[in-house]
Amino acid sequence: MSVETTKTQFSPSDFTAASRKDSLQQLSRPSLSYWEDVWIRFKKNRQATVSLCVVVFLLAFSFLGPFIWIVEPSQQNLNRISEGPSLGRMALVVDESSDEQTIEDPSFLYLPEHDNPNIGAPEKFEIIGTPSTLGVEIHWTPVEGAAGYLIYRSEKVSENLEAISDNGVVIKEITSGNEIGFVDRFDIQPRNYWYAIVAKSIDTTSTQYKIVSAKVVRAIGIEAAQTESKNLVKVGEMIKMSVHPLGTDYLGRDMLARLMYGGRISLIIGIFVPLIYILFGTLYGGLSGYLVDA
Amino acid sequence: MLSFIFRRMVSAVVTILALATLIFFAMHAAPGDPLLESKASSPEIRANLLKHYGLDKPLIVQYGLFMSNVFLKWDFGISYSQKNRRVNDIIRDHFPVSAILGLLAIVMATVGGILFGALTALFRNRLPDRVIMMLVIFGISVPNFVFAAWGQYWFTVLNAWAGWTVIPVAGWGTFHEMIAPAVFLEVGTLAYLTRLMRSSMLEVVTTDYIRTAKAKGLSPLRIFFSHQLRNAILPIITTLGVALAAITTGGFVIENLFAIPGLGRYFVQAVQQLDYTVIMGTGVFYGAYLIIMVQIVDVIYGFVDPRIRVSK
Amino acid sequence: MNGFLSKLTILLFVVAAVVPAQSATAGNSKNTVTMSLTGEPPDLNSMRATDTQSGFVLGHIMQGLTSRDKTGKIVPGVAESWKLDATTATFKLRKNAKWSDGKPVTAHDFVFAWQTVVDPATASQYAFILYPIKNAEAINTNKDGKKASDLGVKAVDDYTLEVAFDKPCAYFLSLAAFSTYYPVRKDFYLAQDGGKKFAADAKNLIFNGPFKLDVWEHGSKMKMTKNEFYWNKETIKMDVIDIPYFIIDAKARYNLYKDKKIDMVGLDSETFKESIKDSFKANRFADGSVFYLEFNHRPERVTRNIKLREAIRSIYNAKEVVDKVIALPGNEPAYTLFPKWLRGVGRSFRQEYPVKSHKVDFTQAKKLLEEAKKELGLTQLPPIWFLVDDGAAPKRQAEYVQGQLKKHLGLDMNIDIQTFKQRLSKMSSGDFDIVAAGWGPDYDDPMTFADLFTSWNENNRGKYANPEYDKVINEAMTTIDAKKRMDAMGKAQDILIRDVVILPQYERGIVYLQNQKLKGVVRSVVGADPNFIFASVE
Repeated sequence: MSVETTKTQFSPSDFTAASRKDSLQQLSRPSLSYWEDVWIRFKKNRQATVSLCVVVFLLAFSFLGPFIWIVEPSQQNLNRISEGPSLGRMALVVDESSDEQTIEDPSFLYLPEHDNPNIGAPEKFEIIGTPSTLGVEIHWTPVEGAAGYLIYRSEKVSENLEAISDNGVVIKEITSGNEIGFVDRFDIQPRNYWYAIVAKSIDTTSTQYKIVSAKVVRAIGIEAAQTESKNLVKVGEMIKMSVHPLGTDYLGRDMLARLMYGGRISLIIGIFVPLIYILFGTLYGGLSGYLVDA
Repeated sequence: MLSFIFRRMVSAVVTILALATLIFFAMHAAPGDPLLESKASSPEIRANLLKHYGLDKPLIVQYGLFMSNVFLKWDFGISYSQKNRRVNDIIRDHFPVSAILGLLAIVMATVGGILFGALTALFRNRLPDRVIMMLVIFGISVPNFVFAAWGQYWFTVLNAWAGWTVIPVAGWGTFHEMIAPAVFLEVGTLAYLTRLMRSSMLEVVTTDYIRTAKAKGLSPLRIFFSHQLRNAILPIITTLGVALAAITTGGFVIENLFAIPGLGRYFVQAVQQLDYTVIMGTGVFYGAYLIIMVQIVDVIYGFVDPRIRVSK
Repeated sequence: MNGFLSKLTILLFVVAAVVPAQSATAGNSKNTVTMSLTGEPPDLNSMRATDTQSGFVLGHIMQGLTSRDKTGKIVPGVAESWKLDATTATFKLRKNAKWSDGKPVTAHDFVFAWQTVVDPATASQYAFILYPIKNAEAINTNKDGKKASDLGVKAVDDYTLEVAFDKPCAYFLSLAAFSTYYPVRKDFYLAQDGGKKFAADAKNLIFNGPFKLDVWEHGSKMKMTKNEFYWNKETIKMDVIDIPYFIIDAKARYNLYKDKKIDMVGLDSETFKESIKDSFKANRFADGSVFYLEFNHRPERVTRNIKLREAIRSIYNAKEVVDKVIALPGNEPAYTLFPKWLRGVGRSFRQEYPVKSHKVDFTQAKKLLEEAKKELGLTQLPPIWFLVDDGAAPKRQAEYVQGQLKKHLGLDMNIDIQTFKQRLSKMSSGDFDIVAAGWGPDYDDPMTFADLFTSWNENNRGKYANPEYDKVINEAMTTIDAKKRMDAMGKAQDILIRDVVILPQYERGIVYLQNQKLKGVVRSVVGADPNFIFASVE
């Protein structure tokens, strides 16, 4: 501290004893508490500030978020499994038949042959109705001598038709020659599928097959559609389905709601675990330091 | 010096004994029953099994038998799940595998860490520094098995494209097969050592002896290699012991992914299947290994850094 | 530092050179199949082995009195002919059956093995499978002072084996093909440190099957080659079964297949999706096991109430679970404990004793729940405890049931996720309301499933006890008349469905990829699977 001397002329009064009050130093800045000082230093560090913002955002997201995004994180919807993020998808309203009975033709004479690789393919192999994400119904005409059928599903069809079964997977094995139809509900996505059918005798599989393609549309059952929409909906209409901004998980649960819910748990753990560290760490370290020095 | 080493050894032995006791009772307190299989067995067969493994005796007797077998006869007993193998054989056969993999990984991590750490310090706040430090954050925060699973996928693509096995997807035996798992095993340690090396280098830059060296007119390269680097390496050495132990014992995920017959896999399987003898054997062995590594590093550190007096 | 590093590198290279280098390219050499196992076989001692990996290896290196053909039918093995009635069986052994050191397989080898299995000191967990043999149970459980030598099996001469039964055993020929019934040669066994080291390594084993175990590096690899002393070696086309990987991670295994390092790989729902993207042809196979939710019937549990169990069944959609929750093709929804592959009298058991799939009916379920509450005297049901393994798939299924119970019945459910061993221990002590369980068959007869829910069976973890059920099973156990046995088993099936003892979920299917050049691989429900005895490379 240098004292500035501006006076050039002195008077005797300058040399009297100063009062105690005058000699007190003046503080040049307002007094800061420890935490105020910490905060000022903290603000100067860009990395720290950004990190704090992230933490505040996460806290707000997981603790305040559920008050804005009011969706039950455990609500399942098996018709909308593993959807990607979107702000609303359109779906065709269809009549949802929950009937799982086998489709049979009891009048057909079922006489399975042994070991005949030359039994033909069904004459007709066709999709019934609109193939949708709720189900693809396939019918075929029965083959004489068949003991059953293999139905393949493939997501791409190769140029070489002989390879149809090489690309696909057996989606259903029919073990009765009387069955003439089947509804595929196995994990159907709104895309193109190719189905192939091969007849089987008891010991061998035929070399002939029939294929049919299905352009699957996204669909919603009429009952589910009615609960989602305020207006009266009819079969055949297109409606906008409930929104899942971050998509859904393996049971069709809303990812955003689950993220908030899971984030809450993670943050609570993230806060309590370091607290425990600090408690035991300082206790143990402090004690051992104290004991060694003593 | 000798008395220092002696005292360290005594404390190590006491720690290992305490550890063995702790594992023994914690294991028996853990829920579950080692003898249960998915198909149930009758009370009589169960009684036969209990007798076979000596589990019919009171716990304290089992403890006494175990401690005397291990510390007097150096015998850990026979595995419960691999019914014809002695735990000693399991450790003898599989620890070297983990050790080779761990050594390879730690060598890569150390060399890489020193190299990248020095580079970042040299190019402080310039592009190479920024890029490497970004990657380092990835390396530290992403678990190594994520990298490994991702890597395996791309190996298949690479091999298919090349038409021969450039990098094996999995397996163990040849040096060729060791490289990929070792690389994935050391990612975290490499990233950590890079950071450590960087901060240590930056600390050294401001010291008096570097200023003296500059004043003497030494070439920047000479200063970098023989003054800065050598001094900055010291903190790395302290961490190496623990890092090696951690890498050798913590590699079970990588061992599972790459079908490597390392001990880590046996340890984790044993805990899952409540294979009492293998848990005890590998637990005590790993504990002893870790304790010894830490002690060795402590002693070595005294030699490497003359400023530290071990007789303190 | 530099010196140290270079020394270390040299050391590493030396170690790498010492460890035998061997890279197997799948399908490269003729008649070699390369595959991976999910884990090392824990025990190749046929008298004690319990698991599938050991069963796979043993099924290739050993042979019992009987064996199986391509279609799973029982055919002569070491025995070339036999006579079987309600009280005894006589097996004539073939003279050309040999051990891998050239010595003949004799009736004494079977006597020794079986006596050792039932000896309490062996503590074999599969000893129960020998219980049809006279005195086996008494010896194994230390009753009536019976010793191993009292077992009802006798070597009349070197090539004639006589077996006496405690009660009639219609499926004994199927049992005779099972691994616990394999022969063990006494002199060889005792030469392995008094039996202590038997099956500890490849050199501590001797073989009488189509293959012999040449290489067994623990935790790392196994290799089986054709056994030149096998009596029927002309029919074996495969020269080598190479297992260079024990790898548990499904994705890593899939990558190995894609990299053409192994010839076969099983898929889970994740790798299945990838295999479609990669245009592989997936095969499927029903492995014969059935998965179900087992209810706890103990008196202190709410699930003892049949109305509650019926209510839960009414909302459970087995097809939906298979199609959407498990999402792996190959699984079939199950409506009964008895899977499709079981044989009845003439046709399949299920064709002779058909079951209807139960209807999903939410209003009926609500009504049943109200009745259940009344019967239990509760206005509000406590949360139901659902015990599962800590895998991803069981958790999914439990979450599905949890969601359905809440949505349709307003019931709360707690999912109790436990490690494998802890789940077993909670199952035994009855600490659950519902547990996800499954059963893989030991032999190909409906009895392997039917006796599960008798009051005396230790695997009856829910402690379902119904004298009517016990009586029906006893009827089936005391006759070898096929029609009577199957009728009794059909009755048992009706009781299981009527009482909602369990809630069947699915018959497990396995989806797998296989090298197209590999032909004749048999996937089998009982015995070694996959079976390469009839396989060849094109």
